Amino acid sequence: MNLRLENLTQSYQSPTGEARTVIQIKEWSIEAGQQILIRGVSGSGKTTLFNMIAGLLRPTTGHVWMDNQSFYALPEALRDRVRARTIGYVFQNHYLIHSLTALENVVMPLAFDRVLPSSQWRNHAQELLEKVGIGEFSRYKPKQLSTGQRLRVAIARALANNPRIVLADEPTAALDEESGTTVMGFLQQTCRDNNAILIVASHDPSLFQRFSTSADLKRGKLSWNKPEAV
Amino acid sequence: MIYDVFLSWRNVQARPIQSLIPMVVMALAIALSITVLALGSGVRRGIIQSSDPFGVLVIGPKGDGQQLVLNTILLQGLPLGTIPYGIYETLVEDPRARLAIPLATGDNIAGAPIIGTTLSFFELRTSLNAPPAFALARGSLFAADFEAVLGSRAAGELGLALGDTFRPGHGFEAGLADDNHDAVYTVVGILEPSNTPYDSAVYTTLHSIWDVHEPVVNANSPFAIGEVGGADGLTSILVQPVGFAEQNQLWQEFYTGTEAQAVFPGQELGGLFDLLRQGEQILSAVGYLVLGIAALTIFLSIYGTTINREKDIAIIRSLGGSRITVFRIIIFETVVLTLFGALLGRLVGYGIAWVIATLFVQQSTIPLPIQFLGNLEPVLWLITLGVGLAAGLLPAALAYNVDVIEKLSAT
Repeated sequence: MNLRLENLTQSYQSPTGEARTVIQIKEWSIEAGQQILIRGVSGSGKTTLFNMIAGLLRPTTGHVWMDNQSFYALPEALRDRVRARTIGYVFQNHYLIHSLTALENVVMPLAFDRVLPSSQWRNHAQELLEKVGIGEFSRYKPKQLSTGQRLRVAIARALANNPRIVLADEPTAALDEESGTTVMGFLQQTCRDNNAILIVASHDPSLFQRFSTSADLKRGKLSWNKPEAV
Repeated sequence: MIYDVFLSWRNVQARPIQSLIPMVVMALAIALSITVLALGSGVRRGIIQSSDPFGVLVIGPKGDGQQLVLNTILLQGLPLGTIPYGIYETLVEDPRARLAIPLATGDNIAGAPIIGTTLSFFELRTSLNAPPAFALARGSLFAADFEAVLGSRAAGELGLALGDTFRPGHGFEAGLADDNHDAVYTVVGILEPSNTPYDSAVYTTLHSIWDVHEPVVNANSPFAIGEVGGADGLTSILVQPVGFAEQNQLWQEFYTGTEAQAVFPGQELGGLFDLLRQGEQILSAVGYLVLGIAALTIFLSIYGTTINREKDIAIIRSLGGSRITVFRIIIFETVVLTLFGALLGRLVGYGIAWVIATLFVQQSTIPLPIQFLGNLEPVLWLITLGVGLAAGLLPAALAYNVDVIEKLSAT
């Protein structure tokens, strides 16, 4: 699957009535299997950009194309299904459901996607938790897990449906360097294996060398550090 | 869909107190309704069951027909008085009466009424082809004066066995020892349970009753058992006419006559049921009020927890859960609370009804069978489910309209 952002803007009305444009991307095409690092300080619009790609925030103008389909031209219910099947999103704050166990959190996108038979959900989720190194904590509730363990659950959940696009917002922010390296290695290898697009938003400088393509997001605009895409 | 139910169940589990309170209130509402309905139905069933073997006409003194039926069939309250024995003699000869059974009361043994009658009493049946309603379990039927046959419950409560003797007390309730008659009865038989108030009674000949009140008549009783012909009074007469037309003719004759009245037990008990129904309606109104309060409690609980869970709802949406999915999760949650409350309410309701019935039966001669309200249950479940769904609609709509980005952005 290829991803293309076309004339994408997101604007808000400020309390004083002025229009503030927080994202402004003229054209950005991403091939299947590409791995991209987006760098930007807090408030630069990284999360807003991810939310638009994930189909959660309708752009003020422009399109998010998935292959030849404009994502926001789809009815909302269908967009939800496409999101469940196609996009894995690792949120900055992990956003786990606290009433569910780690395993049940990972099962959730499988249940919404409804492609894998329900009899296989738990086994598949358990395998993923083992791959991210917390298989023995599958019955734990998020409150019983450390921040790093919660992140691993969030990563396992994002990868549950073998998504074609993986969005990871500050995935290493709460981890020590060694854990961060392990987690990123797993994330990148999995996406490589699945030929999935991986877009990571982070201001962790140690990640820079792990990506062949990176861009800085400043005042809603991308400036590329490598000349592959503009 | 099943997964949505699972998520709802997890939500319920995650908030045990917030879930338990509306569930308990719902259970109370249902328990109240079930108790009232089960007892009302039990009373009706008990009365119908009690009146089943006793034919379609009761002849007794002029007065309150309902009191005559209550006293004759349910052994409740005092008799209206007595009617001449000659009425019975006439009815026995009347071809319109298939069966006429005289009843004379006035004494008791430790509160159990002693009923003077003839052997024809033991021919009473619930229908023509049914076995006798009052069948012997042990011993024999009375063959002479002052021989007594005990109803099954009377035998148990009095602790009397075949061959035992007792002295009757005067009146309808257990009295002082010096109020006892001098006559001595001998137990000759014990009946099988009939599940009627008559299980608490003691049966003997008419003369036994008359003799203890007027000893002079007793000297040389000229009457054969089952064919009494004395001149003393009867409390009432049970009549089974041969047909519908004959039944109406007999009723008409007694209606226009001055000596006695004839009443239809079904009609009089119908009036009693009307009174019962009015009481039930009042209690049902209270039940509906509590059900309304339960609905409000569920609504407030679910609404409150939905507001607290808006971020979870946004997370579900962000993972691909649709608006319909989160709507369903909330609806299922209210349904789970409602159904568990309703189930608990049924257990409690039937339990309370059973306890009340058990206590009531210990104090009363009328059976009070508590049965599953089979015909009403589907309606009750539908009402309960409707109330639960109504209570969940607004919170579900709240979940449906959650702004995903706003809630995910909130700290």
